[in-house]
Amino acid sequence: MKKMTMVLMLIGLAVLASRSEAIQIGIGYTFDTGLHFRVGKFEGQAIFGEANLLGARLYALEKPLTIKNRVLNFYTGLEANLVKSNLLDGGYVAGAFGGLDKAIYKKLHLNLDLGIYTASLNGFETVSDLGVAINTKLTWYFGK
Amino acid sequence: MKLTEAHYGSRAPIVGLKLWWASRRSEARLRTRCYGETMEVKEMKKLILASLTVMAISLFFLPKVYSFQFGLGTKGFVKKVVEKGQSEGKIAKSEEEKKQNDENNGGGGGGGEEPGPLQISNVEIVSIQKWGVKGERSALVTWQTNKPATSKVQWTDQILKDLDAIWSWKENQQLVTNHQVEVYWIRPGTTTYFRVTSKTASEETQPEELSIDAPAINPGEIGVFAISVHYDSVDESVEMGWASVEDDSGESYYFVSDDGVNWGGQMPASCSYNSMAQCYTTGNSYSESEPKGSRRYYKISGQSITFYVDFPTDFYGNLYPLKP
Repeated sequence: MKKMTMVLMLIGLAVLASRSEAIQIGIGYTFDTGLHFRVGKFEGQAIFGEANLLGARLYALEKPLTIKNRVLNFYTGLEANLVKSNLLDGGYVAGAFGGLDKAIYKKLHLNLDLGIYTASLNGFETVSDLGVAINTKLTWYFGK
Repeated sequence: MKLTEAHYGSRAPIVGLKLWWASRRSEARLRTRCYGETMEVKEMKKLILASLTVMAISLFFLPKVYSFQFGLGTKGFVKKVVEKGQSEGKIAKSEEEKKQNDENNGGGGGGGEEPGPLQISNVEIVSIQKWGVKGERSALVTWQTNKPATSKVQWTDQILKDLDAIWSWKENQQLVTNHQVEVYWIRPGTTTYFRVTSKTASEETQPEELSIDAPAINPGEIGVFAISVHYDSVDESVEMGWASVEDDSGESYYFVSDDGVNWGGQMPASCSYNSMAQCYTTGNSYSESEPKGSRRYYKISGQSITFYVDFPTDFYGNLYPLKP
């Protein structure tokens, strides 16, 4: 399942990368143990572990921000994921996030964001909760 | 003097931010008039302000409404929610437990039949001698429930029941349908009563009561029974107690050790008497400090009964007599 998802993501990314120079396309690693690919304002992601997450992010707003001669990219957006686990009958996690993106080496960007999330997980009974999560991502952008 | 872009140069956005942080509003307004890009700075201010407001609401108000989880990564957050669900008995703690629950709900030939209210069936008690320790009389209590539920056994003997003493208990929080609980060192020569109950997050069964008659001890056997170790997780202290068929309160001691080899000083114990002046429980009257993660070895009645307990625990949860 994990391999299949990764292969599909890579194929999709390769096709998109070859077709467009105008749109921002990237691939990266989501800490910890996840992959994501970025197309314009959208990002698909698969995060693996005891609970596997498969979902998407919408980077609704992005603004360049210069602090002490360093250019950072401030962004906010929405995220939604389906949760799959051997202990669960399914569930979802969704939230809003905001953070900073910094080019650490040419096309390699580091993202750090803080978000407010809600989760609803189906076990023997449904468990719902709210919380804060810090996400870190490394993304390699093509083209630009 | 009218300011122009030249006054700010390429550092204009930084100047804009610095103005904001320093709350120098008059200069900011002036700058807005002379340099169009400041509109972006204004937008950024609004954006950051909105983000900080949302964070403030999250951190100060939401925790009062919900239990609030914090995770490193979305996966970390989900993990915290799963752990919360497991502690509340709403999510399976293992794949086996999940499978058992699925079979119970979806199996049985009914194809999705409702299991109905939580019920106990097939309660059985059998005598066992778990570790082969001389003088030990133990019991294995088994039962089944129609849904995954916790396991709890309470027990008392005839003498304690007549004295209206509190029932001893042992509980397993894991949700299962086939339950089994071992009870060690029951009183010899009398009847011991057991109550079994199970519960889920929303239901609890009525107690099922059964009894078993333990044979009297033979001459030369050890009359110690009902060993209990009460652990206070907050104070990290432990209190030891046991009962004895012999009235030996004047010479009741137990020995303690951290390694099972080097035994410490004798810990004196005192006896509780019933109205017939018979000693029915022997125990120490003070607590010993036992940090979480430590193991303590105990020896009662000379060399006859030796066991160890890992802390934090409740005796009723875990007791591991040393194998001979």
